[in-house]
This record gives sequence, C-alpha cells and structure tokens, in this order.
Amino acid sequence: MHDRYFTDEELVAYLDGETDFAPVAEITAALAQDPALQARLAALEIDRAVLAEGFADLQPEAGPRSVAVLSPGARHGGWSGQIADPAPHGRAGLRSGFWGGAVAAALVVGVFLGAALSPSRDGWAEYVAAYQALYSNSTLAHIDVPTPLQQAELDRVAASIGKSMSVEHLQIFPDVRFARSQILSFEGQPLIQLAFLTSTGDPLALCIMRAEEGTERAPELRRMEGLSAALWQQGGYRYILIGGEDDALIGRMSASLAAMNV
Amino acid sequence: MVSFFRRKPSDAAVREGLSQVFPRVWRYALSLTGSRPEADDLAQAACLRAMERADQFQPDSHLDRWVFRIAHNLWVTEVRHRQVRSGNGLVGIETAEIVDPTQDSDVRQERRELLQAVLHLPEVQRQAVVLVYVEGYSYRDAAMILDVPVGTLMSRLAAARAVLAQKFRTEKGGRNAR
Repeated sequence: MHDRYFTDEELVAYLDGETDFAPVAEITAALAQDPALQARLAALEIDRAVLAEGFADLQPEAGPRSVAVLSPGARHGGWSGQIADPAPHGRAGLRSGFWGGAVAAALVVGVFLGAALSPSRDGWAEYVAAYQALYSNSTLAHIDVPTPLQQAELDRVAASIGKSMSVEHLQIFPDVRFARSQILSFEGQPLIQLAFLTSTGDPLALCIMRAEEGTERAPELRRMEGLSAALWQQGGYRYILIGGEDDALIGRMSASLAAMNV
Repeated sequence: MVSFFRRKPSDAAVREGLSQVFPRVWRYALSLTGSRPEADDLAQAACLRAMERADQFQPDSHLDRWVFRIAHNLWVTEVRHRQVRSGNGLVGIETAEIVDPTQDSDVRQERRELLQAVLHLPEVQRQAVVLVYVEGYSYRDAAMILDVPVGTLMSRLAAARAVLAQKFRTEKGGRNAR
C-alpha cells in the first residue's frame, strides 16, 4: 500500500497529462493497488473531446454586411476616391446583435487587416473608418470625464496637430455626448480622434489631420465601412466625422462643426 | 501616442493574426458574458485594445495568449463591473439563448447539457475550464492568461472537474438507459 495522499488537484493534473504538476510515477504505482484511489480518479474523469465539441457549436453569427465588405469591389481609394456603400442591408443595433453577429465583427477585423496591409489603401480616411468599425458602444459607454479635464485633454491632443479647440464646441449637439480625445498617428503624422456617443448608443468619431494641400472642401456625406461619414477640408486641416448609420445626424453635425471651424 | 497606425513588425503580426484569433476569443468572451451581444462587444474591444497596443506585442510570442489575456483583463476591469452595475451581471447563463435549439439532435442535446453545466460553473472555474479543456491551453499558459498562480488554477480545475464528471456520468447513464 502507498502512504501518500494525493490531492484532487494532483489527480486532475495527472488526468490532464500535466506532468510537472502531478507525481505521475507515484500515482501510477498507487493506482495498481488501490481501488479507492481508482474510484477517486474515476470520479474526476471527463471527456474533454465532448466538452470541446459542445463549445464548437458556439459560433459567431454571420452578417450580410461582412460579405459585402469583403468583396473586392468594396475596396476603394482614399480621400478623393469613390467610396461605395458596403452595407446595403444596414446594421443592427449594437445591443441587439452587433452588425448581425460576431463573425461579421471578425470579418470587419479581417477587412481592417486587409486595409492596413494593402498598399493600395493608403487614404487616411479609410484607416479611420476601419478603425472606427472596431468600436462598439461599450468602448465609450463607461467614459465620463468632467468638462475641465476634457478641456485639458483636448488641449494636449489638439496641440499635437497645431490646433486649439474648445470642448464647448463639441458639447452643443443634443443627444450626442463628447466622450474623449486621443492622439493616433497615420504614417508617422499625428491624427487626433475625438470620440462621441449618441443617445442611441452609436460611437462617433471626429478625426482631424493636417492637410497636405490647401484646397477647401465642404462636408461631403459618404458611407465608409457601412458607417455614415462626412469628409471635409478647412483651414489647412482634413476632417472626417464617422459612425452609426444616421446620415442626417452626421450631416447636421458636420455642417455645424464646419460652420464653427473647429 | 497610440501606436495603432505605426508600421512595425509587431503591428503586422497583430494585424495578420487577429482575424484568426477572433473566433476563439469571442467564444471565451461568450463563456464570460453569457450573451452574444456582450461577447461581440468584449471580443471586439479586445481586438481594438490589441491593435492599440500592438507595439507591446512580442512578434516571437503567441498572439492568441496575448489577446486572451487582454480580453480577460477587459472583462475583469471594465465589462464585468458594468454588467453588475446594470443588473446583468448575475443573470444565469442559458444555452438556449446562445445555441440554436432547433438544430438539436440527441447528440447535440447531450453536448448542450454539458455546455450548460460548464456555463453554470462559478465564474473562476468556468474560465479555467474553457481555457484548459476547450482552448487547450497548458496549466502554465492558462494561469498566465488569468494572472493567477498555477496552484490556484489547479484548485479551480479540480473543483470544476468534480461537478463536470458527475454531469458526464449522469449523461452516460441517461444514454445507456434509453
């Protein structure tokens, strides 16, 4: 008989083949002569394959948008390129099914990866759109910064592109809450992202970058990555406002932002 | 500065690998949150965070473990708190909500009941079971993802095994009795 008591942890490690964490030789020897130990081991047996198969049934749902987005024809040029609507079926509400399911989300990631790696898609606006497509309402929902701190953050962020901005200009929109600002970069150049959350849960982003040429452009509505977007150029800066599917909202906001010359 | 758009080897490794890792992270997120929309959001947030912190990823290490850890940390530090605050954190997970019951054969029904047993485990045991028995991580890797000592992971697995083994025996007995 053996005189060593094996813990359940050791027996489970033995069953799992985790030899660094189980006294394998001792358990093997003891099992040959100890029916009680055999019973304890049997009481911990599970079929890992069946368990894994059960989870294999859990798959993200596919969404119609992802197929459209992934098609080669859905890829277009940047700022001046024509951008088609890749979401003919629209998007479900975030809480009621994120773009029709998480495979769609996974494929959006795939699209994003393709966008990021493809030399043909070098437009900053498309990077912004692909980035924004990764946002969910929960990305921003928990952010609630007092206005003075928001202004301090905005000062730091805006300075990176040589701008001075007022939080008040970002807080005038009913049903849209300004959440935060942060600095991103695109091909080594700073790009600022000002994030908003609508009362219906859509994350929006106003992204601003220095323009390379001085042409002024009024806000122009587009659909990018299935999201409503407005692009304009003003005062030596390029702007994109993007998020959700409410073209009217994006139209109103972009017109106001352009009128204020934020 | 968030380095999302910078071109570095680690960025490329993250970009190239994320789409493959995503379904597995989503499944883990589902086991944590218990609902598809919440799993979508958590997995999505984990990908976003991974992209934002791509410069912290070591290209010669394992992307999946890194993203799992990000997802786990997001769950622990942010999402779970919000769920609890909003009254959704203590809701029992029902597989009927996440698996299409109309597709059930007997075999799938049995799998579903086992799945239900896993989803009804206490959260820390559920995490350990999914990482080790579903995702196939070693004890060391799973402990790293969960940020706990291996001994703690082993205790959680042992407790979960006792419950699941009982369920397996019940299932087997039920099948034999039919």
